Amino acid sequence: MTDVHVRASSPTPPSPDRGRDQVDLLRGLARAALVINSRVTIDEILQEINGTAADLIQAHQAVTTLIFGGDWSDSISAIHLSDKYEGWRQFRRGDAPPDGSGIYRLVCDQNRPMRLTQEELEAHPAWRGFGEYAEIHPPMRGWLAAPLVGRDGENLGLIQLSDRVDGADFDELDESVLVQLAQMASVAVEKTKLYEKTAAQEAARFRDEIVAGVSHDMQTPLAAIVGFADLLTQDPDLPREDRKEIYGTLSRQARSLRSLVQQFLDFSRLEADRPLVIHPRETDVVAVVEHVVGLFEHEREIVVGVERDLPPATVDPDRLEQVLANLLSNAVKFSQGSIRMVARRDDEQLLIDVVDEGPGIAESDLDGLFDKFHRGRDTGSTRGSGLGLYISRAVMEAQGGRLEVRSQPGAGTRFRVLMPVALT
Amino acid sequence: MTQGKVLVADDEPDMRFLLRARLSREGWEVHLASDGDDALDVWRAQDVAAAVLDQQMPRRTGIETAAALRERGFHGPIVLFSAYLDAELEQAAHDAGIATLAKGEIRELGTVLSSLLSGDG
Repeated sequence: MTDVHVRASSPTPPSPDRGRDQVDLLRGLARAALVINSRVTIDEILQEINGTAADLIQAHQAVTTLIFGGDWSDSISAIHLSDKYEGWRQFRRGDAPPDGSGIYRLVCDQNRPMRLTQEELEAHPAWRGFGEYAEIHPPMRGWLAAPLVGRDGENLGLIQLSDRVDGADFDELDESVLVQLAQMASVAVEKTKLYEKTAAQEAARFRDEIVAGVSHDMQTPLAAIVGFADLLTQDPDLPREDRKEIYGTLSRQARSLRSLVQQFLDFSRLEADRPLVIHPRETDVVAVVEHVVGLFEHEREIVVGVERDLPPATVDPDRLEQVLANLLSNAVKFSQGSIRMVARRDDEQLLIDVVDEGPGIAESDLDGLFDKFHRGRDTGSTRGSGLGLYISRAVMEAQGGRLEVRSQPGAGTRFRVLMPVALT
Repeated sequence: MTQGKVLVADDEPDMRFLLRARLSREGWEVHLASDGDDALDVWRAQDVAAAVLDQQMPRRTGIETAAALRERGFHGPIVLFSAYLDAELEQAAHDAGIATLAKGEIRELGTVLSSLLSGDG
C-alpha cells in the first residue's frame, strides 16, 4: 500500500549568511517537536515532518517514507515539491514505488544518514538512476538522507532531501538537523503505533468480556433445561403436579435464555450504532402487564393496580414485555418484600410503575444506573451482564417513550415506564 | 435405599427444584437453603452428611459459605457448583478441600456425592 501526499509551496528565499540561522534552526526544531507531538495519525506525522524538513533545511524536494514491518512493498510517503518542480507534481510515489533496490536502501540497512553531491551520487556503486521511472521522477541535485529508527533499533523508513534552495550542497548542519527531525519522527510514529495497539487490545478485551459474560449467564438456564428434560425422559412415573411444575420451569428457563440472546443482539446493534428492531403498534398494555406478572409469580408476590378504562398505547408489546420483565427481575433480585405494578394514564402518556420496598438507591448511584455494565451492589454474584437497564432505556426511547427512576435509601425504588397513548 | 441427608443451597428457585428432584430420585434426603446464611441454619437443624453449594449467591458466595460451615465444625464433603469454573476458583476450592462441579455436569452430582462420602473422592 503506498499513499502519496504532495505538498506544494514556495520556500522563503535563503538568507546569505547561514551561520546566523543556527538559532532559527533550533527554534524551528523546537517548534517542530511541539507540533509533531500533537499529531495523532501517522499520515499527519509524515506530512509535518516532511514539510518541516523542507522548510528548515531549505530544500526543493523532500520525501519521507515509512515502511511497515521491513516490507518495501508496504510503505507510505509524504512528498514535498517546491514550485520549481511544479511540472513534476503529478509524480506519485505509487508510480515509482520504492522496492528496496535503490541507494536509499543503504541508509535503511545501516541506519545511518548519507550526504552526497550529485556527482558523488551518480558515481556511487549503489546508484541505479531512475531506470524506467526516468520520465516521471523529478531530476535530483544532491542528496541528503536520514533514517527513522525504532526503539529497538529497527529501521522504520527515511527522510530524503534534494536540491538545496540556495544552490549550495547540503552541509553538516543540514545533516544534523535532518537527523534530529528523523529522530522526532521515529518517536512520534512509535507512540502512535503504541496507541493503536492499545486501542486494539482494549477492543479485543472488551469483546472477550462480553462473550464470556453472555456465555456465563447462559449456563444456568441451559443446565436447568437439560436437567429438567432429562428428568422428564428418565422418570415416567413422576407425579402429575411435578410434571406440571417442570413444564413451567422449562418454559421460564427457555424464555430466560431467549431474553439473554435478545439482550446480546440488542447490545450489538447499539454498539454498532444501528437502530433496534422495534415494531410499535396499538397495544393493550394490561394484557402485557398480566403476562409478565405471571412469569414471576413463583418467585415473589406482585400486586397489580390498573386504572379503569386504560386506553391502549402505541408500543411494541414484545419490547414492553422485555422492559417490564427486566424491571421485575431487578426488583426481585435487589429487594425483599412486596412489589407493586401500577398502570395509569397521564394526559397523552401511559405510565407503568414498578415499585419495590428494597433498600433504595443512593443519589450518587442513580446517575450511572442506566450505563452499560452497571451492576447493583452487594449481589455477591457475578450473574447479570449489567446491560438490562441500558438496553431497556434504549428500547423505550426508540419508540417515543422513556424510562425513569426515583429512589431514596431506605425508602424503596420506583421505575417508571412512559409511552404514548394510542391515538384513535 | 437412602443415601443420606444432603444440604443444597442455591439462590435460584428453579435450580433448587431441579437439584432436589434429581437427588431425591437417586435416594438422597434433600434439605434446601436459599443462600449462605440459610445454609448454616439448615445444617444446624438437620445435621446433613454432605453439602452442595452454588457459587454465585448474594451476600455469601458458595466458597465463603463452605468456609463458614467448616469453621463451625462441618466435616462432611462439600461440592461447589458453578456455571463458570475458572482456574482461580478451582485453586481456591482445592486449597479448601472442596470438590467442584460445573453446572453443565449436573447429572454427575449424585455419583460425585456418593464417592466422596464413601471415601473414594
